[in-house]
Formats: sequence, C-alpha cells, structure tokens
Amino acid sequence: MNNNDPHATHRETPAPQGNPPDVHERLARDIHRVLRAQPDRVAPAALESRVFAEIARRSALPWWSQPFARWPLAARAVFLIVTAAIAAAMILGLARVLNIVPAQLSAGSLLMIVRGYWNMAAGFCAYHLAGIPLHVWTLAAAGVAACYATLFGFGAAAYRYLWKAR
Amino acid sequence: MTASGEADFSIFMRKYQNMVFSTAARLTANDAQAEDIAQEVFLKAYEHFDALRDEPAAPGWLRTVATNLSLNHLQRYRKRWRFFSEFTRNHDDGDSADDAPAVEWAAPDTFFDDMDGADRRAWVENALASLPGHQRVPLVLFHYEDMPYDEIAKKLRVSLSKVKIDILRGRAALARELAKNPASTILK
Repeated sequence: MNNNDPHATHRETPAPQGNPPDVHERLARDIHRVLRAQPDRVAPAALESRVFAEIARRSALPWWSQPFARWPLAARAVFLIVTAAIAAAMILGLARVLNIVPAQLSAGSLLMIVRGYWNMAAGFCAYHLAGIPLHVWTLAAAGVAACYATLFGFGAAAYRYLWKAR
Repeated sequence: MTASGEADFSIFMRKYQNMVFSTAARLTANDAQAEDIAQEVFLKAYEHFDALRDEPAAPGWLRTVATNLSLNHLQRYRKRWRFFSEFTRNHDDGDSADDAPAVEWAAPDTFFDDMDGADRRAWVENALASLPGHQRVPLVLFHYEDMPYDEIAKKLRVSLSKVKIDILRGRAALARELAKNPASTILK
C-alpha cells in the first residue's frame, strides 16, 4: 500500500459494505476537484495592520520585558551568573544562620554535609510514612478520588448544560 | 528592521495573507481564530524575514507554520474538551454506516447549476466548515495540503485506519452538504 501518494486514496480507501469501490473513487476525485477549485479566502482587511501593530508593540518593549531568548547575549550571561551567585549565597547564608555548616568549607565537606542531610531527610520520611496505618492511606486515596470525581462531574455537567446547550 | 524592510514585509504579507488565512480558516472553521493564527504566522515570518524574503520556499514555510499552529490550537482545545464533548457527540460524529455516500453520484459541476462563482465558493466553504472537526481536519490536510495518510495520522496522533475512515466519511458528509444546494441536480 502506498501511503506517500495522497492521490492514491482513490485506490486504497476502504469501502463500506454495499458501496462499490468505484463510487468511492469517483467521490474522492470529485471532492478533490471541487475543493481544489476553491480560490483562497480573502484575509480580513485588518490583518496587516494588526500584525504591524503587534510588531510595533513588541519592539517598543524594553529588552528585559522581551522573552529571555531575545535578551542581549551579555545580559543573558550576566543574569545567569548573578542568579547562580544569589542562589548559592542564600543557601550558604541560611545554613550559617542555622549553624549547620562550619565556617570553613571545602568542596568535599560540603558534599558530605549535603549527603548527611539527604540521608537524615530520607530517614525521617521513611520513619513517619511507615508509621501511618494502611487504612489511613486507603481512606486518603478514596477521599482524593472522590474529590476528583466530584470536580470532574461538576465540570462535565457544567459543560453539558451551560456550554454545549448554547 | 529598516523602513524599506518593513515595506518589503508589507508586500510579502499582502502576497501570502490570503493563503495563510485560508489554511487556518479551513482547518479551524472559525474566522476569528484563523485571523489570530494568521497574525501569529506573520509575526514568526517577520522574525525570520531576512531568510524568507528571497526564499522560493517561503510560501511552503508559511503554509506549514499555519497548518502546525492551527493543529496546535485544535489539539489544545481538543484535549481540554475531549471527554466532555464525547457526551454529546453521538448525533454529529458521523460514525454510523449511513455515512456511506449515495450510490449514484453527480458530476461536481452539477452541484452548482445556476450558481455564480461567489455563491458557489461560499457554499463549498460553508459546507466544509459544517463538518465535524474529526472529519474536516483530515479532509483539509489530505485534499488541500496534499498530506499523505500516514503523515496525517502522525500529526493528529490517531491511527492510520481512523484517518482513512474519517476522510471517507468526511467526503460523503461534504457531498451531502453540497447536495443540499437548492440548485443542485444531484440524486439524493
């Protein structure tokens, strides 16, 4: 079967029962001819002015209000470096305030500290989640499912009676 | 862009705006949405105008972008409403065996006896727009965009057999709509 030739449809179109294939071939040919004879529709007269107005609006925006990809390269580089530095400073500052890191840090000790806190958090979660009885999990899951079904039902009913009925 | 560049873009736009708008309008069956999509297509074209202005493939590029943006728009809308709309699709989804075309078929010209060109064009556009989306979209992609079945299936993320059946039924439904033309001599 050749699926690459769009006009091969007339040969490979499945025929419903009771309709000879040549009827479908002829229909396909006739519809194709009718549709292809259609000229392009005329675009609204306002389209061009809308496009130019939007171009003007976008170019009037300052560079920092434009998408990140259109920022000057230097601005993008500075932004990435500054945000990374701010994030690092905030994390370290918080850690110092909470007194959970030593004053002198090396890369190795920082890794050890991160690993230690990760293990502690994982152990905390495992301990507390394991303590929750199965029936509580079941009830919680049923509650979430019921809420979801209710919202879904409201949405479907609203669509059917408010939107589709229009 | 310079003033002459803008003038060139204006000429470029006038040359292709009907084609872009038609592509979007036939796929979405909604003029307002088609205008929004056409605007977006030309905004993208403006960004790439230096490469497009002397490019012989520019119309193809515009048509492809218009098609893709229209399909994205329809897919987004479809995902949002797919489940709900299936509640009330029974009467218009055209999935019954009655969608098979009539056995006797008039030549296309006889759809439009006694109709002038403008009325005829409007009749066909309205008939096409009246089809349900799951028939209209593959039909437009096949007949206007010359897209093969497998590519349509991939674009619409449906099976190949569904595309074939939808196109078959879409043609039959379109023929029935065209046959409603009071001037038509088609056997009904």
